[in-house]
Amino acid sequence: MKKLVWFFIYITFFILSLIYFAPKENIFYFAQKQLYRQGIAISTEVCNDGGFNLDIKDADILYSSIKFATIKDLDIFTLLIYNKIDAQNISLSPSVKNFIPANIRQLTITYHIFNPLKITIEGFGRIGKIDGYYSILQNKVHIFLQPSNFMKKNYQTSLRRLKKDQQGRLYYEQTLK
Amino acid sequence: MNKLSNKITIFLLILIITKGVSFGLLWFLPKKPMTIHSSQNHYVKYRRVDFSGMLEYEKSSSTIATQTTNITEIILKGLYGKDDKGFVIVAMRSNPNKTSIVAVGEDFMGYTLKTIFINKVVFYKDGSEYILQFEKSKDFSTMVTQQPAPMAPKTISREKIKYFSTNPNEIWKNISIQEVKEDGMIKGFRVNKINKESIFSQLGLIKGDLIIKANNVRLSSYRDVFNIYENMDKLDTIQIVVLRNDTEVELVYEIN
Repeated sequence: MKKLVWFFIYITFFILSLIYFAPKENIFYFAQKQLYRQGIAISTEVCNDGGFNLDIKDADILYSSIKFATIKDLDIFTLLIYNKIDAQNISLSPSVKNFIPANIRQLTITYHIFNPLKITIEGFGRIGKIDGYYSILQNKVHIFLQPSNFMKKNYQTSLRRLKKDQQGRLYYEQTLK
Repeated sequence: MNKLSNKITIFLLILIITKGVSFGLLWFLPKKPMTIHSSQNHYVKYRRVDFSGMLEYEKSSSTIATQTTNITEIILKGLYGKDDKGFVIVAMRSNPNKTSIVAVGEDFMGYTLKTIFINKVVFYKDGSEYILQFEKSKDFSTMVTQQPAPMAPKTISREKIKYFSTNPNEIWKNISIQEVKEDGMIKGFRVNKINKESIFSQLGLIKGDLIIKANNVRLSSYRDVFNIYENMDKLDTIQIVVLRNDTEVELVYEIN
């Protein structure tokens, strides 16, 4: 029994040190390349390896070369069995802000071993409260929106484009290619 | 003591292995971030030219000859433009092969070019207007076909552009556009519906038009459209090429 405990300690230490020593900046550059093939580009100047996390400042997100948003603070945290991407102060580009409010204060994407087939998405901002998931099996994004009063007042056309479920909750659904 | 040193050795070994794995990974991973290239220039490659500055020399020659030249001594060889925009090609009857280009507002032999019509021009001198027409010669038809008066570019106010860029819903109320694909690639954007009272209709777009180019950029992706849309406030000319009845039609708008 004691040997088994030590075995788990060694394994945990191995995983933690592997994460700690992993060249996270370079892994991020690799992810950047992979995303670029899908039409998504992340342009950033400041990238800090924090041991167990990667802190990225002022990242521009481009989709099909259209600047979509700027993220003031992007924190990528991974323990392999629990992974979290935390984006704070997302400013949407002027072309997008005509469709949804320009600022999203926080957006958190979480993936953990206890729910291996879904990546959860949560966020809030002037848009209201976002809550959804990406289904790995179905390759589908499903996001519920609890619109803020500001959103309800100023972005009625955008809200009309969302679907309603049986409980009357607004949602956006998109199958990815 | 021996057990403790064994455990420390194992921990150190794990550290060495993981560091080694890290170096191994580094070998395969990219060393530098991706460079994202800036989008292409979408400003029109040509602009309307104001000849007033370019043809300054005509003024000096005219001041010398002001007193001596009669309008009947000038012949109209060609024209380009309409109303108060454009230029004309004129020559002296005594030397018809030596032509001069005179823009609206400029002088030629003491006569100021005032207005351009389809087949005649009006000069102004000492409070009187002088009409100069193409002479009924063999040259006439040739000159008209060689130098047709172009459709004057339509103008649109910058305020209007700003209004539509901040209120995209107003655009969709008046016009409905849908992408048209060919072999999986976007060929252009079809105008499916247009409000005849709207500014888009007034600017020359009609239902069925396939918008294929804007400011010399072929619209083969939404990126191309967004590039124009995002930089709309910096542009002073918008040029749109539409496919209408299998013919390319160019619409040019000046932003004032």
